[in-house]
Amino acid sequence: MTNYVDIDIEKIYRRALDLGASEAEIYYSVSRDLSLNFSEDIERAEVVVSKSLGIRVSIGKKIAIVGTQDLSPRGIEDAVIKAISIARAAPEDPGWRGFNEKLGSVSKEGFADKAIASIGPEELVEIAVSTIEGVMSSSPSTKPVRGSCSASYHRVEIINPYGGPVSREETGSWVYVYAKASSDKGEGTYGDYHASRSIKDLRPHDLGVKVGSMAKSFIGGRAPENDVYDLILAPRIFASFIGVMLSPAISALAVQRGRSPLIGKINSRIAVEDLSIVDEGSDPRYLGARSFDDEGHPTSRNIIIEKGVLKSYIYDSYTAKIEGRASTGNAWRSYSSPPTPGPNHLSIQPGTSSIDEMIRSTKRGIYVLSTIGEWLSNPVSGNLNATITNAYLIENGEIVAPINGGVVSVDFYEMLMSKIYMLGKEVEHRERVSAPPVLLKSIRVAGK
Amino acid sequence: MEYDLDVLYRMVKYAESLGASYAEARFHRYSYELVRADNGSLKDYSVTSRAGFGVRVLYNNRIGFSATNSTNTEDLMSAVQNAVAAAKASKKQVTLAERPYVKGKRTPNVRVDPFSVPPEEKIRIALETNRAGLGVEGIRSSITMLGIQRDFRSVVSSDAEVTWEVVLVGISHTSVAGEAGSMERLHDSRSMASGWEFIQNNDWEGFARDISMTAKKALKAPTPPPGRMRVVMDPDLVGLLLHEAFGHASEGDLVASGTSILKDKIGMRVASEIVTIVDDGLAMGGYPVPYDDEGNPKERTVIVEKGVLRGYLTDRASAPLLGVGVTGNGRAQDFENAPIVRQTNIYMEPGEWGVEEQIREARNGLYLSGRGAGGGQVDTGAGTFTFSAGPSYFIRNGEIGEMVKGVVISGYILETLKSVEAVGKDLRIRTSVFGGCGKNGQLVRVGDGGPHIMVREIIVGGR
Repeated sequence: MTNYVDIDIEKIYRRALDLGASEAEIYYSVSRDLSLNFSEDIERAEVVVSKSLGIRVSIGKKIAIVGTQDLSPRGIEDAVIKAISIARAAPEDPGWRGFNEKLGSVSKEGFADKAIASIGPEELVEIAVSTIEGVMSSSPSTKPVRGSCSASYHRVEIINPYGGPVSREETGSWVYVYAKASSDKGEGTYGDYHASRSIKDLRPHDLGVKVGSMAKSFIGGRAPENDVYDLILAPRIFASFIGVMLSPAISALAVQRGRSPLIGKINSRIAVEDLSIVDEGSDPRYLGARSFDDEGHPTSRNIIIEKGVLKSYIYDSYTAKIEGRASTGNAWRSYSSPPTPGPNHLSIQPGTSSIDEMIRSTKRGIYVLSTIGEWLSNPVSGNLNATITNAYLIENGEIVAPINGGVVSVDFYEMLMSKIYMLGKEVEHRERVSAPPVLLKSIRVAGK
Repeated sequence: MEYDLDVLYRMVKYAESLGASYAEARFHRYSYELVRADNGSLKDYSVTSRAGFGVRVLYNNRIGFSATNSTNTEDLMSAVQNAVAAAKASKKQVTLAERPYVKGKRTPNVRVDPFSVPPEEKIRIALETNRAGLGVEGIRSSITMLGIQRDFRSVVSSDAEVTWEVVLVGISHTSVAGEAGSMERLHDSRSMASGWEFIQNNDWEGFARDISMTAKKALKAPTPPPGRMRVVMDPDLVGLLLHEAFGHASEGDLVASGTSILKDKIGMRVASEIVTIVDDGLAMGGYPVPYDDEGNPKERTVIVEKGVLRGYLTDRASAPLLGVGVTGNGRAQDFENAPIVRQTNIYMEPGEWGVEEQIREARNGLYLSGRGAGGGQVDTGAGTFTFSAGPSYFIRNGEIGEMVKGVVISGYILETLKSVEAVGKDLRIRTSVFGGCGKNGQLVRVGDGGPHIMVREIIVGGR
């Protein structure tokens, strides 16, 4: 078992000051990722341990950041020297007002399942086998063609002039499967994942059964007619649209730098009254929540949209100090990149409708279950596009045929303001976003 | 990090002593500098250094992999033990294709080492480019990135010893244009496997101003009408199309597992007969891949010849399953990942048509430009792909008409290339130091391109 606490970040911090930094921040992360790939059989297991060091220094208002995975004494010394020499060469950043001044944790409970830090590949085999059996049980002609499961342990330590070292631990576990069903009418495919902090909370068999039976239901899917439809978005699709379009727009950095469509919209209505979205930064039940953010600032629960009204952007300490306010605990970074504001976990609040009610109330529509390419959309202009890979055609309140293909196009802000017709009551938790299903009125779908 | 070829040999020998019938130890050192100018000032200057070891073993015909970025002998040997333990947990029997012993070395062709250029010079170029883009009237925001990369890899296995290095440089720029109530963003970049001379020899201020002008123009442009239409695509988009619509589906691991609709299609017509598609590790303008991470030489692979599927891209595990040769496409993002089948530089071979000739012939439709395109995605099992184009143009009566923006294209792998009606004489292949291709959580640098082509029918998203 690897020793996780093996470098002295206080010493590196002092070294940066000795070499001429006016202030410094040391970020150290250790992760252990165990993963297993499978199809009908267990294929390949991997164990990867990595340790990464981030050194951020300021000389006055001149900043530099150096990330290294060479943690030999020589590698660390070189990284500190490099950081100082770049900061000396850099022009002043007029927006710089120092490092995060509030370090600490909300609570440390519930973010990590200690068991994950030391399990071996054989323990993932059980998860994989259970998923495979689930898929196979749905029908004899349905097979898992690609799958993976993983268990990750992650530890972060931070020190800066205002406090620390502070440390936090998180774990995650994940199972994904993509299945193919065949019949004389053709082939159908479907894939989905389930994620949790702890392996024991995964439901691999249920996932397999669901993915297998869905794959079968999509046999013979074709592109829809080029037309305007009512769209039911499955929770994972609604979550993905919100993640792609809203996450960059609510970043205080995008707002301050003039590239968010939400500039000047605080306390303005931007969505239907039914829509409320909360960034759940500190509650461990939400994946993405952490006890402190990547600058050591405690995370929080932050209301983004309340009954259709935009209430807050998300801040790291850099953007917060520019506005003379507190960080919302939303700094995200890798060891070698500076922090930037990002949502911890956007939780879209549920409505009251069941998915059956949504289908029944749709005269001519499409129930969308998977898409590709929505990340190609433009969060600055609000132009949202996604290509359908799995959907059902609905006519007169009933599912009548599978769909594969067609491009959904909508102005995201028009969608929030006037297209949302019903919000579902069943919330699905995805990574960093959770959402109910939603029924949208009159959306253009390009097809055949 | 200190590195010695002997360490890799020791790891291989140790794995063999533990019972592995095959072992492959890799050392990888990666250096990256990113200078980001934002709205006229330096936002950040970040440096990344990574180095470490990956080890892959075949034990009892099962594959296992492990990695570490530690250099002490104990940790390296424990990585070997982890790889053997991982193999023991696997159930699937794997056969690796046999090969003759491979030994080779390749050094990059670099005149001025970009890592020796002082930070002040890099900051100056990033800032001047950024301010030029911001200086265009109506531009509200502008981000410029200057990136340099050095990637050094060594693979020692039971049957190979290869070492190679790639140096890559580039600049990207994003401009946001805005006026009352609406905003538009446009992004473009240029990269080259080259030394600093590529940065010195280009007009980056002109590059940024041009992006700003197009962003401004796009602000007022409409989105296209939705539906199927005839299109002429520029080389950047043809590259994206091939990468998404064909390259992924030709990856041998996906074919072998049944996740690709190109399975069992060798010798069959999959494109119109003027279409020939190649994956070439050393294509001019692309990302150099002289060897893959299994130590195989990567050469020129013809995937489609005159419309007929001729081969798949393979690594040593997928080739025997498909009954074809190893094409040298077993690539890993870094030392922390095991090699999987990846593309290198995919492109379409040029044909006989001029660009204007194609636009005239198309008569009505869209001229799709890759500048400002965001990339693409494919579901190889369902056979559906999508990608976005940058600001593009209507074709009306055989001539370029007004601009359209927000163009997204979608199609089916087995249909789209069959409807290629014309292939241009031109050829351009590009790569990027800012991005790459993602698969199974691994990002690798790739290149792609082709000539201009005309496609009879493709689905265009719009409102």
